[in-house]
Amino acid sequence: MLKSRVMRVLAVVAVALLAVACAQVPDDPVEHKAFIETNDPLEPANRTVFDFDVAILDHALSPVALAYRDHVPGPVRDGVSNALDNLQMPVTILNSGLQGDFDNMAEATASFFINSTAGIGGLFDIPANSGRKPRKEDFGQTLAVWGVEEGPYLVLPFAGPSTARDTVGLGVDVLTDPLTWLLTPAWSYMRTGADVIDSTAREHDRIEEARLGAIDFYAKTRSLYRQARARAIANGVADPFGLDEFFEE
Amino acid sequence: MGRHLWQRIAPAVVLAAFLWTPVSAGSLEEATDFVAQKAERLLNIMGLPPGSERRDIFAGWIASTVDHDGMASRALGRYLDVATDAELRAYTNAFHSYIIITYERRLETFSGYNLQVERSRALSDNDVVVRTTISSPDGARTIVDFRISNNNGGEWRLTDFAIEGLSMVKTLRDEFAGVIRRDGIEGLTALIESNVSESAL
Repeated sequence: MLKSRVMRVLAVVAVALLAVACAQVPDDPVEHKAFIETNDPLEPANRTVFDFDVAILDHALSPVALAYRDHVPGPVRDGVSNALDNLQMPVTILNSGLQGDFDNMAEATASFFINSTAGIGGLFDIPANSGRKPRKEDFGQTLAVWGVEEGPYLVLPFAGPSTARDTVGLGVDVLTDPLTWLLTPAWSYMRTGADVIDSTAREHDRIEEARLGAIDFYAKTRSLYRQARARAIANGVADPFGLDEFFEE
Repeated sequence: MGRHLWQRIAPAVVLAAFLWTPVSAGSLEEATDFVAQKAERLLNIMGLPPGSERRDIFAGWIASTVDHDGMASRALGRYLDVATDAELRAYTNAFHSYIIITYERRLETFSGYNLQVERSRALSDNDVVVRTTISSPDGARTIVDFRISNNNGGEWRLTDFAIEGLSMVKTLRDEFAGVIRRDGIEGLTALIESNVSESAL
């Protein structure tokens, strides 16, 4: 199963690189600049995958996620979210260290051990109750901190918006997640399924809000994804207006 | 090489130092008050029952608060330079209706929230950013940054805002660029008009 997941990611990256190499760059100066800025040479293919992902979201994931949200009590859903976040913590610990962010690494390590024990397998997020919640980090962010360029925008089947850098990061996150090696395939599928339903239930309203009044939902999603990733890479202090120092905490 | 670079940029740095006037405490306070009052008013408007009356009140709030022409121009990005006057007029009118129709519905989610001004910073006497926190009835907090300008001593107007770091103008610019590339500015205007008609139903 692990092999197939990694192979899938590698296949997407290979196809993306091949298509980028073949992409037509416009000659008109204004169009040329817009093409470079948008950095989406695979746009036609990406739009097809995006439509597929939206159809899956609308017809399969959202109905299940909304039923889950409407029928499962809030405290139970919070417990599930906390436990899933806790399972992701080793990836944050590793990547905080790789980025040289040892404060977040220490906070994530403490959070992981406290929640895994006193928090009953992560069902209760004890440090968060006192306002201490480590930032989530992944290998895509680590590559950005190391100075790797974002690369072209990609839309992955079932996984949604990404970039070449984040797609590589996703593959490394799968490989470096201890649970990838510890869980049986059945448990691994259950974890992925729970993660997808939980995140869809949490993000449903925000997705619908973004879709409301969208002139081009694909382009809007691309913009919002990039801005959100820039903010995550800058540890929440990204600057939407060009005022770096103002946003330093 | 480092020395040459310094020699090249030093005059620009000196010129910028002369041109940049530190904002007066009064202006910053005035700008912050503007945001606090307007945002408070907006939250009150969003608490009204939906309908044509609320939409009219919201349109009035937009007219007295938002630099919608400037926002429309910035949302065009690099295509502003290639737009004809007629295209720009039609697009700006459509943009104005779009902002009213779309944002009245989107901002409805903030009904019942409380706003607190956190801090402000001026880029110049005419350009200020105010950071606020909006708290939901269940205690969830959202950071909203407002960028406002007084257009060389005129009235303060909102030029952009960012919810949790996501800028409205940047998102619109990125969204519009693809449509313009495909269908031109006229195509974008037609799409906005059709979106407004559908949303108004």
